[in-house]
Amino acid sequence: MRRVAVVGTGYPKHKSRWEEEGLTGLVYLAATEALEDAGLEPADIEAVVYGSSPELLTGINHPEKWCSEASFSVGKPQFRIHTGGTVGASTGIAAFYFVASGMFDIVLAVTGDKNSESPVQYGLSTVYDPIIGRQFACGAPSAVALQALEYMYKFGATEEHGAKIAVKNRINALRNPKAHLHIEGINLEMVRNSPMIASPIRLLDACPASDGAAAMIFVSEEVAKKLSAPKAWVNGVSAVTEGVMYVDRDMTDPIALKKAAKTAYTQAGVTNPFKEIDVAELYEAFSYQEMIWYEGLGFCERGEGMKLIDEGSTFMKGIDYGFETPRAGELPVNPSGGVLSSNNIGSTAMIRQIEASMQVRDKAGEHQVDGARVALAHGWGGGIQFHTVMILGREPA
Amino acid sequence: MSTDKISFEPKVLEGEINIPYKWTTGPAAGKFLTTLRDERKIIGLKCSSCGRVSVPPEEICGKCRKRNSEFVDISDEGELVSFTEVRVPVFWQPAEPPFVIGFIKLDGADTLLIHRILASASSLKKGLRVKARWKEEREGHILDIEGFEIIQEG
Repeated sequence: MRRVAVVGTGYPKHKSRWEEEGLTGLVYLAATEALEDAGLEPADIEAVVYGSSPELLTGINHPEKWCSEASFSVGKPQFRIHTGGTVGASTGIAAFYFVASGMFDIVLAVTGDKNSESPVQYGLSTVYDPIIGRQFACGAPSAVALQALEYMYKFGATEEHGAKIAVKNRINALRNPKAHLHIEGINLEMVRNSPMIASPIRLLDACPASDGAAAMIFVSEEVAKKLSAPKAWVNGVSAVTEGVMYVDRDMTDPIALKKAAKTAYTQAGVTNPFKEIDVAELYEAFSYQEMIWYEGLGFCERGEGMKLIDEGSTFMKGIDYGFETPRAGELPVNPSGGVLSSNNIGSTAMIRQIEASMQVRDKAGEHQVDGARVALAHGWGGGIQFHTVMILGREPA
Repeated sequence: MSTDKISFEPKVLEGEINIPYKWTTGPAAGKFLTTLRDERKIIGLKCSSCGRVSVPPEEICGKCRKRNSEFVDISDEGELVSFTEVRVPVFWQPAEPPFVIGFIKLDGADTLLIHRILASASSLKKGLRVKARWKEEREGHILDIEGFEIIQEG
């Protein structure tokens, strides 16, 4: 397997509704920004991997076809990836596979969705089994509410923990100009007073639905060395699927995530993730999930995710969140604002990889974690089914 | 690479997709549903390899990946494991929100069934005993069980 680097990334600002751009325009904006960042031309791209959310969310089947020109796919192999909310990460991983395998040297991974164009939870409910199960779906919030409650019962987490994560990521988002939600003055009180969607999940514990797109350029080591753009080396990659029969699963024990983390850590030579990883971008579609993912990723022991919140370890250093965060900066999670601040379903998991790569390329601007050398990007989706982990490094492993 | 911006009035086209489907149940869910209808009874599938009993029946054992064929009778009573109140409306829901859904561990089953709980969320707690409320007119559908009611003690 060959070494692979990310040399360019791009995503336009995410927002509730992009009135002035359709899907084609957003994909074009993301792809051109990534090319400019890499110092490459459209003709340099050898293959394209395209990802988006389930079609019923946007009502356009085969969106990759309509974006062939915008994604510079014409005359080249183009492949569509489809793994629910994980799709953005899976798209990046597929592009990595294309380059690592030796088949291609320069691959564009691109994703996009206009989630404003339909009531998202309607489309999302169609990912449930139509025969037994869909009748009780109201989209993602109901499933994750059950997960959050189970976690609270088992380990004693409280609504306060969820609210602190909601505040952390929204305050972080204020330093990311591309984040969708910029909620000035966000605090615990605002989260507590926001309407209940599916108990215990309140509106401000949930991600928004965003219009947006994202793109990354994956290249071989040989090409990377010729480019002046800073590199993020893809040092560990893993994607793991859980059984679809979730009915007897312990949703507080993400076995697929644990397996994905273990594989990626072994590849990247990470033995103590909490100490060795400098910054992480996790797929926390709902506030409570962030603690469960900490545990799945081995940042702490099972049931101790809330300790990292109580102690403030995953908060950014030097930011006032309105409550005590004595150990801030130990392992900042979601400096970009995370999924709680931008959620363009097709792109969300790719933005985790983009933001992680920006951190090790020193390109994260105001939300840069100083001197970050090892960054982790996580993806989740498909009704608690898929997990992905990518480890990006300033140097190759 | 980019071109100059076009000045225009933001415009949308409205439309909808309404497609009828016929979903084949397959043998496991099929027998489960017709038994609800004809016998007013809940059945599960027992894995011949690990002995795990799944309800709703798993055509392929979630643990062993073997194809299951041995049906066993399951009680229509069990324990409430987890629950939440649904407040967002979607077409095919069993009731107008708000209503409560929960995971139920039926007596005799090793897996959890998701279904409607016929009680207000504020009256519920984990571990309560629940029992199916059956519909008189049944059509071979998971909603032949209207939902699960709390069994009052004493």
